[in-house]
Amino acid sequence: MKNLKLKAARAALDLSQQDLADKVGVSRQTINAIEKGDYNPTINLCRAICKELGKTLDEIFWEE
Amino acid sequence: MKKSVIVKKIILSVLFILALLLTPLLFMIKTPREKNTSRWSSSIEIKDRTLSPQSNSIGFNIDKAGEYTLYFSMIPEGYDKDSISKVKTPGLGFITTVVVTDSSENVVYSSTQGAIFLDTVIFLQPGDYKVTYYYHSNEDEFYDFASTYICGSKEASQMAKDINFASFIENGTTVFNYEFCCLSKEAGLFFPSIMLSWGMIVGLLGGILVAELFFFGKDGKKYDERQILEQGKAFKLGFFTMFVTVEALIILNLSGIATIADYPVFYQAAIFLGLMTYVIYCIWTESYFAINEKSTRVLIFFAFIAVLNLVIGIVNLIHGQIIVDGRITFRIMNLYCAILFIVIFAVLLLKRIVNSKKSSSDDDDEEDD
Repeated sequence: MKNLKLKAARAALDLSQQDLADKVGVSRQTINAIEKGDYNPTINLCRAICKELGKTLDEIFWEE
Repeated sequence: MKKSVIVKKIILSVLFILALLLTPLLFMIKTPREKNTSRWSSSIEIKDRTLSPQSNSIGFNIDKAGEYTLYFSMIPEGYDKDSISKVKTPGLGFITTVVVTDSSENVVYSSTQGAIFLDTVIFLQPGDYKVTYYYHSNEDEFYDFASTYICGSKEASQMAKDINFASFIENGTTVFNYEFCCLSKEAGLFFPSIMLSWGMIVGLLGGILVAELFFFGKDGKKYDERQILEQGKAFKLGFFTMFVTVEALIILNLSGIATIADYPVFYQAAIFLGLMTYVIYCIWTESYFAINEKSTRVLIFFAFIAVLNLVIGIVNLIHGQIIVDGRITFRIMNLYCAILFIVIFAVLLLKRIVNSKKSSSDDDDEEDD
């Protein structure tokens, strides 16, 4: 399932996939895979992404 | 550039130079022994139902105890070693016996056949030996010989009956080419020449060094968690591909089909297939290149290796070094390498095209590098 919340949060901060990838120390393809729902990140990576986006884990990764 | 990287490069360079200098020394210590203890080639003639000469012999020396392969070949003119098994003994009109004796005239090996083409492995002690071909054109001659040299009179009589001599079919001049050689076990070395071994080792080390120094040994290269996960899956897939291929090759070998090529050719094919599977899976799952690593440099490097190996492979093919006596030799490795890198190059390009199409059709904001 696509992670549209992540994409929206990233877009809100005007960050590209590459920018976010650089900030959290992964490849752009990994961010792309997470947004597409092709890859489930570890809790460490989830936390790093949330910190960079200024969101909580629930806001980005919890399914309603 | 970090100090640690500079030190690493210096160490690698020194190791490479050391390997370059020491490899020939290594082979000087382990110089392959003379392969053939003795090689002998001549011919006999059948003329007006008379064999000329009636026997032939040659001496050879063994200086180290061990297993040796005795190779006997006595093939009528016009036949080759593959068709000789179809020639029936009585059809030749005479029988040949090969006897190997030691310096005390003790028989250490003997074989009786019509036309002969065989390899046999026997254990020999150091000393002088003699191999003799005897030709017998009738039962009496054979009986006298067999009862004297090979067995008792009762067995010799039975053997002479079993052979069922036919009259000479040939009544003109027929030439039989015969050959004998004694090969030590060391003749089966994988590397037949020092220069080839040296070239392969230096090439391998040089390749690793160039790749490490200029392409892959970059500072700060690392993979993220998804890439490491995908690499693990790729490794598993590559391993099972190699496993299945090796098993298939063993079955082919047992069924006799694998005789069309030397063993290294098959096993290298299995390794290359496993490697190819690993690399293709990694490329396709975007886990081949490290974070922020540019693929263009690697693409150029792979194209260079592919072209280089392709050229060497074609040159080998033109010079007839890949297929020798109907068998594929290990010189096909260059073509293997070329195929491997061409496939990897093609997959890299294809992935680039797919990514660029995806990024233009999706609303992704980046293009793949």
